[in-house]
Amino acid sequence: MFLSNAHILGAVLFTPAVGAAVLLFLPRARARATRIIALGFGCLTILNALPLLWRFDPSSNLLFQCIADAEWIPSIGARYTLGIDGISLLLVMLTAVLGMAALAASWVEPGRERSRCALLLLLEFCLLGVFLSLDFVLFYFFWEMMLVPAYFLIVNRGEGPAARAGMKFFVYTLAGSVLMLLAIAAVWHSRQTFDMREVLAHPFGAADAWHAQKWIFWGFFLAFAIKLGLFPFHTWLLGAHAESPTEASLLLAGASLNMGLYGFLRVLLPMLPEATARYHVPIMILAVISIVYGGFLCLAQKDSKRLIACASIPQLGFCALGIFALTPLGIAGGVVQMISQGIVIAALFLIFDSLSARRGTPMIEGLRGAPRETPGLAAFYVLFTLAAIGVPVFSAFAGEFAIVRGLMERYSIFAACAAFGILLFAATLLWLYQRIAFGESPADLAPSPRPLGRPEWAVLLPLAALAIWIGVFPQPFFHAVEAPVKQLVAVVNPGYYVNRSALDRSGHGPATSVRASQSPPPSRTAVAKAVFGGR
Amino acid sequence: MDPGSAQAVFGQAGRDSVFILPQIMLAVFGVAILLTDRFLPQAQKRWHAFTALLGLAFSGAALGVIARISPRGISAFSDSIAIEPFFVYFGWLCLAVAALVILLSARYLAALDSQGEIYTLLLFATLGMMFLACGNDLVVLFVGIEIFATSLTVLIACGAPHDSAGGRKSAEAAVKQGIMTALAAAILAYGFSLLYGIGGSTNLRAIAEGITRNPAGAPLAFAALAAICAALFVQLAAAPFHEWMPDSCQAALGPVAAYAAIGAKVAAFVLLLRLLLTIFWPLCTTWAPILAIVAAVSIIAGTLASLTQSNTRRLLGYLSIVQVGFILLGLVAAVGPNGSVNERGLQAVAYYLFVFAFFGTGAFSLVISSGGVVAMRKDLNEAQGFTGAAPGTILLMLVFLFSLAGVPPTAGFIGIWLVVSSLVATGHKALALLAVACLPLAVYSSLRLARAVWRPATGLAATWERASWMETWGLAVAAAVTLGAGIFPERLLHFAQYSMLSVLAR
Repeated sequence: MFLSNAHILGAVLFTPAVGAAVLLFLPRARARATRIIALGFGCLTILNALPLLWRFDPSSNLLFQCIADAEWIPSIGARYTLGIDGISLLLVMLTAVLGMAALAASWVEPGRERSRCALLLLLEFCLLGVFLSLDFVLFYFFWEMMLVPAYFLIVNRGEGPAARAGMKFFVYTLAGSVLMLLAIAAVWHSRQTFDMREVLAHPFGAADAWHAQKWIFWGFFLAFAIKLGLFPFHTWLLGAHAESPTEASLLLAGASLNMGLYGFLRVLLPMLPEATARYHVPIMILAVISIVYGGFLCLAQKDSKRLIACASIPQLGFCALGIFALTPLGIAGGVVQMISQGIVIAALFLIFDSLSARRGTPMIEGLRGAPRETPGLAAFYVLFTLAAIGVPVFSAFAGEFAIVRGLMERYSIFAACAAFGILLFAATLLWLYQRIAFGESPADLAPSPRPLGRPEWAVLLPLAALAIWIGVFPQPFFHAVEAPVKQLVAVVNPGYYVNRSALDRSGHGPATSVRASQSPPPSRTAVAKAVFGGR
Repeated sequence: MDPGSAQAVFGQAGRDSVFILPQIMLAVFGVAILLTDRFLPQAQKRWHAFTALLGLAFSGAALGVIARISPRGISAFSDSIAIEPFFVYFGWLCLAVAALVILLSARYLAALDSQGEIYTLLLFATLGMMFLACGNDLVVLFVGIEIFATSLTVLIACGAPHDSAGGRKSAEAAVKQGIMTALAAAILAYGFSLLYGIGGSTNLRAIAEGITRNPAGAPLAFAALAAICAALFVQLAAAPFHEWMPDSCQAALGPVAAYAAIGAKVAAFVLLLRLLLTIFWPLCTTWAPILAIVAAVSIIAGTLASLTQSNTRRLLGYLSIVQVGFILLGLVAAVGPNGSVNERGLQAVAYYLFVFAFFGTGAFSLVISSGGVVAMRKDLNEAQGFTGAAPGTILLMLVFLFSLAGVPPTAGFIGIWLVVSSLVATGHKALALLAVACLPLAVYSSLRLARAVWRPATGLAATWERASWMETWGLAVAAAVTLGAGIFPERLLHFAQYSMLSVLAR
C-alpha cells in the first residue's frame, strides 16, 4: 500500500509469482489451505494494483509512469524496465481481476489444487509481465514464458484432444513468437537498444531502410496476430480454449488474447508507423474476415463451450479493426472493447461451465431449459448476453460505438462491415439464448436444481458490476487511454490532426466528424467527449 | 645451472606440475578407485562414487587455486600447456559434467559389478578433456583426445553381462563408436601432421606464426582444417556425421549414454574452439561457411529425426544434436564481416556450451534417475509418468526439457537469444530464420517428453524408489544452474566472454 512509485509495479508483478512459489511448499493434502492461500495472493495482487488507479495521472505529459528501472543483463543490453501508460493500466487491472476470478472459479471443481492454482498464478504473473515490460527482452521473456503454464493448464493431465490442443497451442504460438525474436534482434541491430521508450521516441521512419522495416513489421505482426487469433491464424484457439478447464479458458480468453492487441498498440503502430500506414488496409480486411467468419463459426457450434471459445474470434477481430482504423476513436474504442470483451467472455465461460456442470453436458441440445432451474444463473446469463451484444448501458456498447464511429471517419465501408459483424454476433448469442433459456428441457434428463454456489456468486457479481460500469460510465476508461491514443495517432496517422485543424479553419468539415472536429486540435478530453458528449 | 641439464629440466617440470594439479588429482583418484576395487566387497563398492566425487572436488579446488594465482595466463612445460581463463572455464565445466553424471547415476550404477571400472574411466575421460582445455601443443591435444575417446569407448562397452541381450547391444554400440573414433583419430592425426609440416613445430603458437607468415602454405592449411573439422564433427555428432550417437545413447548404460551425449560434445567443442580460435583464426572466412552448413544440417536433421522417435534415449540423443547445431551457429556468428571478431558470438558459444552441459545432463536424468529408469523404459507413447510418485522430480525435469526447447526462463532461452541476435548482427539472416523455424519442432519433441513425465504413475507407485540424496542434489544443482543462468546470466556471460577472449587474443 505504501510502496513508492518505483516499487509498486514490481510488487504487482511479483505477487503472483511469490504465491506460486509458496504453493509449491505446501503439502499436497492441504487442499483447502492451498486454495485459500492462492486466493489470498490473487487478492493481494489486486490490492497492490489498486493504488495505481490514483497514482496514475491520465493527464500527465509523461508517456509512461511509475517506472521501475534496473540493470538486468548488461552484456546483452537488456534491462529490467517496468512502466504503465493508460492502456497497460487497464490491461493490468483486467488481468488482476480475471486472475482472481480464475482462482475463485477453480474452487468449483475439486482435485489437484496445488498444481492448478500455482499454474494460474504463474500465468497471471507472465501476463502482467507482458503488459508491464518496457524492455524488449523482458517483454519477450514473459511473452514466451506464458506458454508454459498455459500449456499445462490446457493439457490438465488429460490425454487425447486436450493434449493435442495443448500441443498445437504451444507449437503454433511459439512459431509466431520466434518470428518476433528475429524482429527484436533486427530492432537491436538498427537501434542498439532494447528500451521500448527509446524506440518509441525515435520510431522507424524515412531514415531506416524500407525492407528492414518491412521485415520487422511482418515479424511482429505475425506474432501478435497468431496470439490474438486473427483470421487465418485462429485455428489453435478453438481447441485450446474449448478443451481447457474453465478457470484456464477464462484467463486465456479474457486476458491472454489481449496480448496480441496490446502488441499492436505498444509496438506495431507507434514504432513502425510507416509500415503500419502502408499495410493497415489488408490487416483490416483480415479483421473483417475474422469478424464475419468467426460469427458464422459461432453459429455452427453445437457445444456451448466451443461456441464461447469461438466468440473470441469476432470480438478480437472487432478490436483489431478499430485499432487499425488509426483514428483516435477507433483506437480508444478498440482498447475499451478489449477490456469489455475480456470481462464478458470470462463471465460467459463461467456461466456455461456452471450450466454444463448442472446438466452434465456442454452440448447446447442438453442445456435447453437449464437456466430456469437456477434463477441466479439465469439472471447473470441475460445480463452478460446483453453485455456481449452491445446493448446500451452494457459494456460492449461503449467500445463498439466508438469503434464504428472511428471507422466512419476514414473507412465507411469497413464501418458497414463492422456493423454487419455486430448484427451477426448478436444474432448468434440471441439464438443461443433462445435455444437455451426458452427451450424445453430434454425429457430424459432429470432436473437437478442446485442454487448458485458461493464461489460462483463471488466471481460473477464483480464481473457484472464491471460490465455495467463500462456501459454506463465509460468516461474514466476513455480518459485513461486518451493520452496514449493521441500519441499513437500523432505518430501513425499524422495527417489526422493536421487535416482536422485545416478543415476546422475553413469551416466546412464533413458531417461524419461531428464532435472531434469542433475543438481544433482536439483537447485533452476530446476523445471521450466525442463519444459521450455527442449522444 | 645449465639450462639444458637434466636437473634444470626436471626442476622446471616439478614447478610446472603445479599447473596440472587438477589432472594429477583426477589420475590419483582414478587409480585409487581402480586399486581399491580389488579389495572392496560388492556391498561396499558404492563408496567409489564418493571417492570419484572427492577427486573431482579436489581437482576443481586446484583449478580454483590456479585461477587465483595466474589470472592472466601462464605457460608451462615448455609452452605445451597454457593456463588461461579458457582452461579454468572449460576445466570446471568438464569436472561439472562428470560430477553431475556420477551424482545422478550413483544408484543406477550401485547394482553393477563393474562400477569401479566405470568410475575410474569417467575420471580418466575427464582428465583427457582437461588436457584439451589447456593443451598448447599438438601432441598434448592428441593425447588428450585419445585418453578421452578410448575411455569413452570402454565405458560404452561396460554394461550388462555380455551374454545378455543388453550386453550384446552395448558391445555392438562400443564397436561402432570405437571404429568411428578410431577413424576420426586417424583423420585428426593426419591434420595434425599437416600442421606440423606448416609450422615446423608442434607448438600452436609456432604453427600460428607459420600460417600467417607463409601464405603459400595456404592450401596445406586448408587441407589440415578440413581434416580436423571432419574428425571433430564425428566426435561432436554433428550431422551428417551423427549416426553413431543415437545408437550409443540407446545401447549404452544410461549414465554412460549421458556422458557420451554431453561429455563427448563438450570435449570436441573445447578442442574445436582451441584450434579454430588460435591457429585457424586467419582462415575464419573459410571455416565459417563450413560450420554454417554443418550447423544447419544438424539442426534440420536433428529436429526432423526427433519428431518420430519413440525411444526416450534416442529422442534425447537427437535433441542434443540440435543443440550442437545451435552452438555451432554461435561460432559462425563469431566471425563478423571481413573476418572481424564478433564478441557476442564467442560469448554465445561459451555460454551455451556451459549451460547445455548442465541441462543436457539433467534431461538425461529422465532415463538414469531412479524413477526414470522405471518409468521411461517403454515406448514413449506408453511410458508411465512421474505424477503422484515424484512430484519434485517432475518440476526439475520440466526445467531441463523446456531448456532444451529454448523456452524462458531457462538458460536455453538465453543461449538461443544470444545465437540468434549475433547471427542477425553479422548478417546471417537466413541462418537465423532457419534456427528459429526449427525451434517449434524442437519444442514439439521436448513437449512429448514433458507430457510423458506429466502423466500419472499409475501402478508404478508401489515399485517406485525414492530418489537418493545424491540424485536429488544432482538434479537440484543442474536445475539451479539452468534457471539461475537463465534469469541472471550476467556473471556467467562475463566469465564466458573473458575466457574466450583469453584464447583469441594471443
